[in-house]
Amino acid sequence: MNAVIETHSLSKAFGDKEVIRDCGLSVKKGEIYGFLGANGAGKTTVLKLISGLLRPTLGWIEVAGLDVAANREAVLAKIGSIIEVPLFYEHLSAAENLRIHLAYLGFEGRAEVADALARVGLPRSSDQKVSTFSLGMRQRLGIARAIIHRPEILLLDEPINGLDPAGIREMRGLLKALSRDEGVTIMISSHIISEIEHVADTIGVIADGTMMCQTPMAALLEECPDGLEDHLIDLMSGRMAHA
Amino acid sequence: MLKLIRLELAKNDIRPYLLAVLGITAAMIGFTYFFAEVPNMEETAEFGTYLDVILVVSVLSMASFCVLAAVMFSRFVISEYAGKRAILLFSYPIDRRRVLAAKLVFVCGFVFAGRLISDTVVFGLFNLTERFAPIVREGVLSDAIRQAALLILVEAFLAVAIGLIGLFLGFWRKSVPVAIVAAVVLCCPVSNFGSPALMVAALAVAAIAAAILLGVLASRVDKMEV
Repeated sequence: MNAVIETHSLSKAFGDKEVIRDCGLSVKKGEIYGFLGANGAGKTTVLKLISGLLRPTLGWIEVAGLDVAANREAVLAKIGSIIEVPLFYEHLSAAENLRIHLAYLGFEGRAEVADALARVGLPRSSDQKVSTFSLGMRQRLGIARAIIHRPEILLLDEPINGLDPAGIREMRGLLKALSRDEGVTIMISSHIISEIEHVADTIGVIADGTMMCQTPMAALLEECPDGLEDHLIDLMSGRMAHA
Repeated sequence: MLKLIRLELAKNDIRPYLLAVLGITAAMIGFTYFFAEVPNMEETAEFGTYLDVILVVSVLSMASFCVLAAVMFSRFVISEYAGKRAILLFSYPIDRRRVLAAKLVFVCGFVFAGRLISDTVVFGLFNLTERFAPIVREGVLSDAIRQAALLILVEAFLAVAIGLIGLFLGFWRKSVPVAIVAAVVLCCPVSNFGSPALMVAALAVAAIAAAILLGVLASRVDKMEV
């Protein structure tokens, strides 16, 4: 399978502080890439670098064969994302927010809006303003916004935040369906091992800005038949590196 | 560009700004009749002609629209780019400078049109009532309005230009209060110029400054990291 996202010797510093060091990761077409790391490890920074919200200090990033730095808009057209906390126009309804989002992306269509809302389990025709939404509803709406234009690539930063157990299971099913049925490449970051373990085809672990491992799930399971948790916690805390 | 401007209209609640224009208009109507009555209340030569009344009210109107421009620029630009909302704005596959330009064109157009409509209502109403129950004793109102028309136009542009300079300073400091205070501070000396020639000179300087600062602002937004 071809790599859809590739980072090459990627480094990012804020002032004197280097937060990402020589990071090389590769996400294959159609796979779900679980990006694990403790809080503050650099997951969100890497996702921001991939989506052009930050510029690398060193190295470069390719998305769908395009250099992100030189093709920001073309790359963004291929991506749907939730980065940090999804923000909305609070005085508008979920459908209105999605219609505006679609219009910015160059699309128009009520059917897409209704479909995206249905896929994440939000009511299609509600006039309820987003300002009254719970955290879980906002997260669902954020996912709807990320998938509404049927992007080739989804970048999801801690997408299950605020979801209840049933919602987490629904989202897991949705992500698997998007990958399996529509060939969407999904990079999902989390600090919750069990969540990544349930969905990922490949796991990448980052600790203190350095990639500790990038391994297919099948190989990891073979290597750790008694469970991945201890092994991944060691990697996330930077105690050991995996080939 | 038109589509981006329409999206600004769709995603922002502009009712508070429409209400602000209504409020300014109501206040200016009050000021117009107040200044027109001054010579009748006190033995003074000030505000004795229609032109005097129009000039002082138009300066007050300019100051009000300067503040409105600064508030709108703060809401539409500074709040959008200074906070986390910039992540959403920068995730669209559209040149960042075009999105910024749409916001600026929308606010400039709103403030400029608001000022012209407000003044038309204020002086139109004054003109109407003066036909039936005149308060001012000297001059012809329609002549005075004609004489002040260019100045009002210059002031409408000035309000936008001063708002843009306030926007740049507010953006630079990532602060809405800085933008508003800067616009008020800049507006004060300009309001006291009095002479139309000085007003035109002020507009030229403000327009050049605003154009340069907008270029810098666009470049900053393009290179911004969030």
